[in-house]
Parts: sequence; C-alpha cells; structure tokens
Amino acid sequence: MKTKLFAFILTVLTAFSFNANAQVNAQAAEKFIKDTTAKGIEQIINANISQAEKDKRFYDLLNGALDLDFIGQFVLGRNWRTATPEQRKEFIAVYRDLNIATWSKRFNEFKGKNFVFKGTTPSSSKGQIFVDTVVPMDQGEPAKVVWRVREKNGDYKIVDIIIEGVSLAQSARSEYTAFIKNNPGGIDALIKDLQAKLKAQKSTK
Amino acid sequence: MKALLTEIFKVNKINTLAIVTTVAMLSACTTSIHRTDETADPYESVNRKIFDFNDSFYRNIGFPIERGYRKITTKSIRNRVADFVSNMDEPISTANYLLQLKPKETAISIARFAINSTLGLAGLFDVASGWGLEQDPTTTGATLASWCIADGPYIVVPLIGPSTPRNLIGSSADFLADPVYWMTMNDANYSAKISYPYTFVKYVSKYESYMDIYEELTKNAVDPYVAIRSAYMQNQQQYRCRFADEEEAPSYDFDFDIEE
Repeated sequence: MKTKLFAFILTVLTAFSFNANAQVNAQAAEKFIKDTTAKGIEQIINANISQAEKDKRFYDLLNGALDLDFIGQFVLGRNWRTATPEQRKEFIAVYRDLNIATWSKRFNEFKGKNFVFKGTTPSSSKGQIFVDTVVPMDQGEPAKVVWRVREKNGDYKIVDIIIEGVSLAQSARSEYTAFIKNNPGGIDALIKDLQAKLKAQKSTK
Repeated sequence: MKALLTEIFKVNKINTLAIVTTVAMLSACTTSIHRTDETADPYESVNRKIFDFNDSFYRNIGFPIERGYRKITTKSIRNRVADFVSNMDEPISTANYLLQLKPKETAISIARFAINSTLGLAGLFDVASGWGLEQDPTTTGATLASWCIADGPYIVVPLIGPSTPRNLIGSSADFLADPVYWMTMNDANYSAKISYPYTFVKYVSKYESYMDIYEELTKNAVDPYVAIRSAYMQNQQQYRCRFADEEEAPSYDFDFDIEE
C-alpha cells in the first residue's frame, strides 16, 4: 500500500512538473521584453554616443533578443526543405542583417515614446507566449504591439512582432513564398535581392 | 448617463430588427462567415495591374503633394487639421458604434463630438482625448464585419488602394454619409466653395500617415504587392463577427514551429 501511494505521488509530481515545464513563465517572458525594450531606449536611443556605437549596440541587442535562425527558417516555409545547406546559410545571414538594420532604424524613430505593458496571452504553439504592449500615439488610441516569445531551456527569444494585428513573420513568409514561386531564379534570386536591399539600406544611412 | 443609455437601447431595438433582416438577406449571398485566407487572391492579375498604377500615382502625384503639405505646415498645424477632420467624421463613428450595439463606445463617441465641437473650438483640438475619452473611429465596414458579413476576396481599388468588397461597400456608405458631400446635392455654389476644398484637405490629411506606412512596407519588400496585401488582410482579421466564439485565438497565433 505504501509503495503504491508513493508511486502515485511520484507520478503526480512528475506529471505536474512536466506540465509546469511545458507552460511558459509569463512573468519571465514579460520581464525579458521589458528589459530588451528598456535597454534599446535607455542605453541606445537616449544615450549620448556616436551613430557607429549605436549601430553596434543595436546589433548586439537585437541579435541576442531575436531568434533569427528560427524566424529565418520559418519564413522560407516549404522552400527551406529544398534549399541546399549553402543557400540556408546565406539566406539566414542576409535575413539577419537586414532585419537588424530595419529594426535599428525603427527603434531610432521611437525617441520620446514608450511601451506600456498589458500582460500576456497564451499561445497555441508549445513553449510560446504573447507579451502584449501598447505605444501611445499622437492621435487616437495607442498602437498595439504584441511580442511573440519562445522559451527554450530557460532562455527567452523573440520570434515574432505583431503590430496592429500584422505579424512580421507571416508577412515575410507570404512575400518570400510568392517571390520564389514567381521567380525562375528561386531562392538564389531571393538571396541576391535581399543582399541588394541590405546594401542600399547601409548606404543611405 | 443612465437616461442616455436607455435612449440608445430604445433606438437599438428598432435598428436590430432592420439589421437582422438585412443580415439574413446578405448572408444568403455570402458563402461563409469564415475569415478569408490571407494568401488567397483570385483576382491577383488584375489587382497587380491596378497596384502598379496606384504605386506610380502615389509616388508621382500623391506623395509629392504630401511632402509639400509637410513643407508648408508645422506638426502642430497638421494635428489641428487632423483633429478637425476626425471631429467632422465623429458622427459616422457614433452611428456605426450604435449599429454595432456597443453602448459604451457610442456614448463615448457622442461625448467626444459634443466636447470637441465646443470646448475643442469646432474640433480643432481633441480635448476629449485629454480627458480619457480616447477612441479610434469606426466605419461601416467594421459594422458589416460585426454582423458577420464575410470580407470577400482581396481587391485593389484605383487610387484608393487595398480593400475587400465588404470594405468597399462600407467606405462608400461612409463617404455618402458625410454631410459635406450630400450638401452639394442642392447647392452647386457650396460644392465649389466648401466641398471640393474640404474633401481635398481631408484626404491630404488622412493619407499623410498612410504615406509613411506604405513606404516602410514597400521599401525592403521583395514583392511590394504581396507585402501590402499581407499586411492589409492580416489587419482585417481583427474584426470579429458578434456571433463568433469569444474565446477564439487571435489570428496571429498561427502554428509557429520549424523542423529541427
């Protein structure tokens, strides 16, 4: 009897802790977004440093906070499977740099504004959670910005940013899938096009 | 306040009857109340042609006008113009919040119009927002959506841009409901002196922020047409049918995983 009871308790405990592992810690996820945005605003945008130093800090911050390997693979969709290892590597590299460049610029325009945290919403995807924020605007209601956070081995990373209901990962996936379908050059043409965009973005700084 | 709400509900009962009849007729024509797949685009080839035409219209005529507007005005002047235009459109929001059976939003909309038209100096200042009565405008398109009218396929309208049949009907209704428009019907003199200049200023003001979003979305796009379509159709999915399950997950909670 005693052994049975012990086995039962053990099973319940294991099941419970297993369940707890599957659930993302909402507070930790929200804190992660709070820290990331605060760092971007206080230590970069409002800091009295050169533009080159700002760019470097943004790169480190965003490269650490965004899971660009994960997003990059997702946005290629079905085409990821048929891509060669070299194509995958090249695509992720350019996708990473282009995203970081774009987000650095968006963050810069954020001067004088702030994020207001509105709690979290569970996700149907395992190990993921949405952190809800709003940004007060000059006119009308504040803009809704939702951060999709993925937890892996206690580490938190941003996998999607949703602005007014528009998911950036979903948009990129639709766009790249259409581009590869309509373009005889396929993935290679996409990589070339993105590399040209990155170059143009860097030169207009 | 209570009297006001009772009044609203009284009106609502009559409207509900009218709406239920209309919805019953309209839903007979629509195939489903489910959301349209974001990538479904049966009119893509025609849409792309109109998109290219619009794109060159925006870049060669529309945006230069917007940049000129920014050059000759200050941010504060543009805010006054935007507030004035928004206030002129507030009654359309009031009517639509009412038709969406949202008493709280309807009351806020009425209060906003009353406060901004008087203390806000004929709408030049959005005083109501400063008092915590912040509220986005709503449209007839949103009203149709709330009554479960399907959005239909993605369409690109010449000059206006992205839309759906539902929103095209909605925005036409909003346009016709504008007093500045229907007052031209009986007075030709009025149209030249007030209506046309006002309509011009209204659209210049409304499209000012649209220009930034458009340029931001298309700048790094490998396929600008798909970039705009994807953003527009995803944004549309926030409109919920009032008979839909309240617990439904947000549209952006798609299955997000990769093979590792």
